[in-house]
Amino acid sequence: MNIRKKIVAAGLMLGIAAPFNVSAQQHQCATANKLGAIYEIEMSPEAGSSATKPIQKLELWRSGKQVAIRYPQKQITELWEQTKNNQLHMVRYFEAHQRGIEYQPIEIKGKHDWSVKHQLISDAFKGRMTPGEESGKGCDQKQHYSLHKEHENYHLVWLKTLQLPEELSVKSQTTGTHWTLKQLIKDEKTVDKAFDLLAQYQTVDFTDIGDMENDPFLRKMINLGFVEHGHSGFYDAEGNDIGSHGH
Amino acid sequence: MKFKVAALAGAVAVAMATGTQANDLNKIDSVPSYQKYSPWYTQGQANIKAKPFAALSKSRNVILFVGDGMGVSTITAARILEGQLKGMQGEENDLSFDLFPYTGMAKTYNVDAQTPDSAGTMTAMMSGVKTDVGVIGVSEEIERGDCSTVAGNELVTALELAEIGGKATGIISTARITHATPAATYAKSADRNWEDNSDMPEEALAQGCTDIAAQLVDFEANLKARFPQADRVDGIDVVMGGGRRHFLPNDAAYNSADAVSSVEGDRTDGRDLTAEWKQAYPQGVYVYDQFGFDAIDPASTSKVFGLFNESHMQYEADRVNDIAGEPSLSEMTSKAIDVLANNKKGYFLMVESGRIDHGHHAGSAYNALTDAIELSNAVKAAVESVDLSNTTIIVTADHSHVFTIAGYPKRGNPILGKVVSVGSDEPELAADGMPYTTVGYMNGYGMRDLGNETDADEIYGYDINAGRMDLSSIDTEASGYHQEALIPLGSETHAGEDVAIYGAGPGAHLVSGTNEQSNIFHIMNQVGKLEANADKELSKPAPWWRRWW
Repeated sequence: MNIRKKIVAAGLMLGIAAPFNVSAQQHQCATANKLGAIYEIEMSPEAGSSATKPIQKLELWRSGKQVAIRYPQKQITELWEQTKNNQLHMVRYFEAHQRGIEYQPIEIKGKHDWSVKHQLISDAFKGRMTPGEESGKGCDQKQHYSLHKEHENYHLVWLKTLQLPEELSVKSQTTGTHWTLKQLIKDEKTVDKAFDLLAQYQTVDFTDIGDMENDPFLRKMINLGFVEHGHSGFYDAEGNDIGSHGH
Repeated sequence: MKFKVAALAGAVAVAMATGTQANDLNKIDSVPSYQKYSPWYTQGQANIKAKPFAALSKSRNVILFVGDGMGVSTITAARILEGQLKGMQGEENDLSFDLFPYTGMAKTYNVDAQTPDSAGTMTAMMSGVKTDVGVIGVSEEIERGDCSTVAGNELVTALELAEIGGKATGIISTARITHATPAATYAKSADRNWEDNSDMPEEALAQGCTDIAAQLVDFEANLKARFPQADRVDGIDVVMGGGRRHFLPNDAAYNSADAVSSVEGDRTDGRDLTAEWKQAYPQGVYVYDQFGFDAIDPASTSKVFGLFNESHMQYEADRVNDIAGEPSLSEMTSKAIDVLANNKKGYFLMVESGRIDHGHHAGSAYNALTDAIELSNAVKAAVESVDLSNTTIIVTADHSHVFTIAGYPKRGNPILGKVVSVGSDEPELAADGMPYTTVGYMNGYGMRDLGNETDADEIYGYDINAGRMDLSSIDTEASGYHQEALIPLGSETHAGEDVAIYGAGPGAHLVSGTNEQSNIFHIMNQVGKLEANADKELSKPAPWWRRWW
């Protein structure tokens, strides 16, 4: 398969394929272990500004102990994997280059909390929120949570079976961010294909980059830094990650 | 008469097939003419032979230790750190190889690069011929990444000559065993990154080039194909390191017990090279963890294949955190020597401390220096295991790093600490009013305080942070502290200055002086009679039964 074909296939598999409407999941429970979830992130203009901010997208793909977080605007996907000794292994894929950089396992701590990768919001943060109204039945059960913290109000709608947020909003007096689950992909073959595609990309250990100065892709990475670090969990209006333990 | 004509025809045919040169009717050269008559080779050989008592230097066993990226500043800092960890002031300490009787220098540049890489430098050390950056076991006539340019430019290595001559052979690395330094002992590749078939372009595979991992497992067959007369070739006897991913199929069913990925193997050709190795050497032992390693009985073991990690082995300081456990470099060295010593004709062993380089690339002096100290431990273990009257040990580096020891710290000042001047108890302040450390980097990721972290690669989860920082409240001696760097780069770089060569045992004085790095091959060749013994083996008349058949 040539590169162009691969990019088209990636778009089909990661962005377009099998867009199930969230409300359509009444008929059967999707498994929390294998799914795709596509979010839209709206950020309200800052006070005094009339400029609207473009809607951002983020995709989460789960398959067992693997979670892929895709940032469509950046064409970057981070594949996180929980290892047997509870460490995190990560490969960052660059779709435009059909390449990946592989990181050695790192300890689960701070921003590398597995729960943030797995469900976009840490167990610790969710535990600090106050449970509210419950709605839905069976596998469509939802739990509302809220939290007021330092002039900010958080509201979460939690899909209990899928272990995923359906909505999260963060509002302050001047700004606001709203996450909405727009599509849920529960076709297992589609999910498998998304992971299979990533596996086809050539990867290199980050540790080896210093010795691979002649590779144009890696030279760019050496000179410019690797990537603006994406947020793999929710962030507030100031861009701070709110899904990790630090908040 | 009929037999003689047949033998002559056979010798000529073999010489043509192997690219070697027949100087007379019976002589078959182990080193092909394009290598043997390369200026690097002829001048290097002449330089070594011109040194006093070169002809009298003879050794049964040769051990080459390579500290990847272990420049002179790294040796000095590791010496001080080891001393301070022992309760000394530090500067007066000696690493094990500091006590070797002979020392020289090596010029490390590659043919096409002022600051070299491990592929070009190790190819020089193993073949006596300098080559381009990024290529493995081939001459400078190669074009990197072009498979079609490999044929006819393959260089015979010291390890191959030892095999042909009937010695036992071994390679050890804390990096992946397919990584540039160990690969240069056994493989021929247009690109150092072709570690398994999935790393190679389709065109290269179609043209018949094979990946480095496959070349390791097929080493015996490949060498016999190149030298059909080489009766004593029996494969590399001891192989230990990391890099299991390049030997296993891309299928979770082949995962090892300490796999860190859901699918450990990378190979897309379905080959399980560990199984192929076990089939080829049923008398051998394949191990992948500390338990298996400990169970090896050197007295009754003739072949060892140890792949202790999916990728590189752990940093020495982080080894305790490995899932299934890994042996240390010194443990592997001792075990390898004990296995190889079973061969009456002697052995050739290459031992690489591969992660000194990685510690520096990550800007972690702590990891680089603690791995350098472990290399010193491995050399000590070797010295204690061998008879230095018949074993030559060489310790060197492939290249340096942009790592400096600076300022005017007082005697005994912690080498990883802030500069405290003579007569003072407080950190010295720079012109910007902030304290500064003794060791630091010219370029790289920059300062990061990761507390008691012992894995230097943890830095890669953070942003570049080069330039001056306020270190007043930071413990710069902690294992997780990454030193300041001036120029922001995503990876700290190699440096271009000379590296040291240390020698002990017969012919060790030949390391003296400032050498082209390729001279290290010629020193090993001279003391081990590698080429001479290989030529002798190849030129031996075939046994009567083979001549008749």
